[in-house]
Amino acid sequence: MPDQLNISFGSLQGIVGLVMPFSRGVTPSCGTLFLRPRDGLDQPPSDLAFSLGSTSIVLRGCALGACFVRIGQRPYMACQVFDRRWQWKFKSVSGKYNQRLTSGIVDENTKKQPGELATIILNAIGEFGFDVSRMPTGVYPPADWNVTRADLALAKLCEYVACEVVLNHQTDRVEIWPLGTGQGLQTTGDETTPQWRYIPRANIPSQVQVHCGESLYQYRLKLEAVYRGTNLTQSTNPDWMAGLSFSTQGFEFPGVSTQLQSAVALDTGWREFRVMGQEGGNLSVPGVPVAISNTRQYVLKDYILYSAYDDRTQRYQRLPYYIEGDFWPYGDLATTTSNQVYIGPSALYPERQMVKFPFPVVKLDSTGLITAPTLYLHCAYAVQDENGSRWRWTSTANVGGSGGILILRRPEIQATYGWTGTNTQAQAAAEAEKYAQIFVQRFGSGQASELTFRGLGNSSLNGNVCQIVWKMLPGRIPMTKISDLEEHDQYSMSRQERRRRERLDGMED
Amino acid sequence: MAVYIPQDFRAPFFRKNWVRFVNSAGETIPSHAIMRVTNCTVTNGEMIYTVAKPDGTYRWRYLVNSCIAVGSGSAHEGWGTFLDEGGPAYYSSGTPALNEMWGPTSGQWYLTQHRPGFLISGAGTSTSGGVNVLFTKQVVPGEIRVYNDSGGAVAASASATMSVYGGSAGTTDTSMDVTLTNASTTSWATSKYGSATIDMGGLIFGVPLQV
Repeated sequence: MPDQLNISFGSLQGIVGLVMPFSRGVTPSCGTLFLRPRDGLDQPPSDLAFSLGSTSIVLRGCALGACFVRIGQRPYMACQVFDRRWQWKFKSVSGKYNQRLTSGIVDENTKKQPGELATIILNAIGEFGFDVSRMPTGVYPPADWNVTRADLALAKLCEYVACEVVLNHQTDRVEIWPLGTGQGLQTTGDETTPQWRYIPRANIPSQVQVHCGESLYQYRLKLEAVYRGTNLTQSTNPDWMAGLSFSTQGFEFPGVSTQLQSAVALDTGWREFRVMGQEGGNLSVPGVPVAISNTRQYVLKDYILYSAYDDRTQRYQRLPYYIEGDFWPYGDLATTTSNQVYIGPSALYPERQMVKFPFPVVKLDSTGLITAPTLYLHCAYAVQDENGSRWRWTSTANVGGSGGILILRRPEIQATYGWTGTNTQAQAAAEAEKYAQIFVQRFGSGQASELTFRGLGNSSLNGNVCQIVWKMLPGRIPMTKISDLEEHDQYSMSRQERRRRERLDGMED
Repeated sequence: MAVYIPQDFRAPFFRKNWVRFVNSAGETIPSHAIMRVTNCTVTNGEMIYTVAKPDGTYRWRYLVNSCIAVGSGSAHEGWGTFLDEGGPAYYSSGTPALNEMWGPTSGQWYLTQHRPGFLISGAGTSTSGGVNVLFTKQVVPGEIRVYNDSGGAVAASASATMSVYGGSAGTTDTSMDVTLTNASTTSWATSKYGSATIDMGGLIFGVPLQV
């Protein structure tokens, strides 16, 4: 006598069949309940239970979706049924974590491992007893949630660290598995076909490259006085200074002869300074292998690599650029500063690589005559090649597939190099390397396969097993299909499509 | 040293009343120089002084250069102050002391001790722009000590050019002169001291203090 098949959903009567593809992720899996046509179909969220012989499976808190009547000799009503993840999209989460200091270091006050972030989200969702212990450590994905949909936040987080959300129907607990981990498919002898393995070459990259954000440098930059000529060209030798000496023209440039000359002289004379290179006079930035032939390869920022802690907000704040050097500080005497910070007003125009002062900034020589000050600009800057490709830390790991290079962009990781020796390259490299290894592991078991069993297979999903399809149709033998690495159910929404929709939904935030 | 913030008037330079001047001395004006005003014109609505080196005539009020030296060209400009608030001024030698009076020197850019015109603010000195500086406030004198070395007695209401005297005992010729009118009713005998003032009206009047 064949085993008895039982399918129940709350108090719903007349259920004759069920096809339930059960997949990973935050989007609820959608099955189809087949029942005899009836009116007034309304069921509160209920447990979907089905059993065959001694095997019993219960999916808690499922909800009905749309129902359709399928016409035939014996019409059926087909009802969508979603597992309990249907309610996740109605939950939100807020918080700002893994914020970075300008040095690239993670702010200790906001530092969270991926598992901690997942815990925050799952708590917001209302799950309990979940297991995030398998999630990788040593990487710090940025999180800036402002009443963000919790399911989308979780999906994004998991994707960032090559994990997948598993609703374990055996334990009724949520687990998060790193992709490429977990027990793969096991043959039992009950399968209807052998386990044919294959490698989905198109999906396996040859390499993983982690591209960090642009590296930032703060070796101080030397400034030189520049002027605008009457043809509006900026240079160190404007046409209106022909035959004149800066040392004797004071601040008013009385030697210039026309109104236009006077206008550009008073507007720019000793007031505008531009970056001319590194402190030592050359252009190359220490540690950067990119050939630098022009200062336009510096990409200036208006802040420095150091941050200041704000005791009220308990956050680190960016600090603005500053200038230092030898200049006359408008004191009583002709004495100039010696490598002092200039604390007066100025404006930095990063795209023009220029600093402008509202009044002349000069130095006075030993006889009190005006001469050029020695000024240095302290600000963070990136370095780019002539094509605009910015120098960044990159970590590469071999996967061995036949695809191309999988580029992971991790702009929040920045190696920084400061004038006083600050160097966060080691931290950036370690985190980038960790990401690379996480994604190598993702593709570690490159063999996809599927197994179809008679009866109800009761395997659970993990980092390798990605889909279980239970199929119990009237008049047919109940079957279970389990997929490893690639989802094989052609009737349900693919993982790629689910993620695409999740990303589209996430664009609202 | 302190680094000043120029725009918020903490910088000393911005706490003084500066005037523009043009160099007509024909030579570089050093930092903190004592300058003789030779003229004042208006250019683009701004008063601009013309200055030269102090000469043998006592001028009662002098302009003092800032710490920025000014080139020798006739178009070269600088910023000067009458030191109403006090500040640094060029001196060559000597030791300034609080409340001493120092004054201009004929043919030089610096102050000399025991002369009328500049009240010393204290004993502090420094160097700036290659010169020694003391700290002083200009006090236009109400009276100066003069000595009738004009070559003869000066009758009442008559005019003559006499030497300004200073020094620690008031008996040293400063090599600076004033032309005055004897405001007394008596004749001002030769080789006698008296006083001169610019405060009594349109002329510099003098009166003998010795008979």
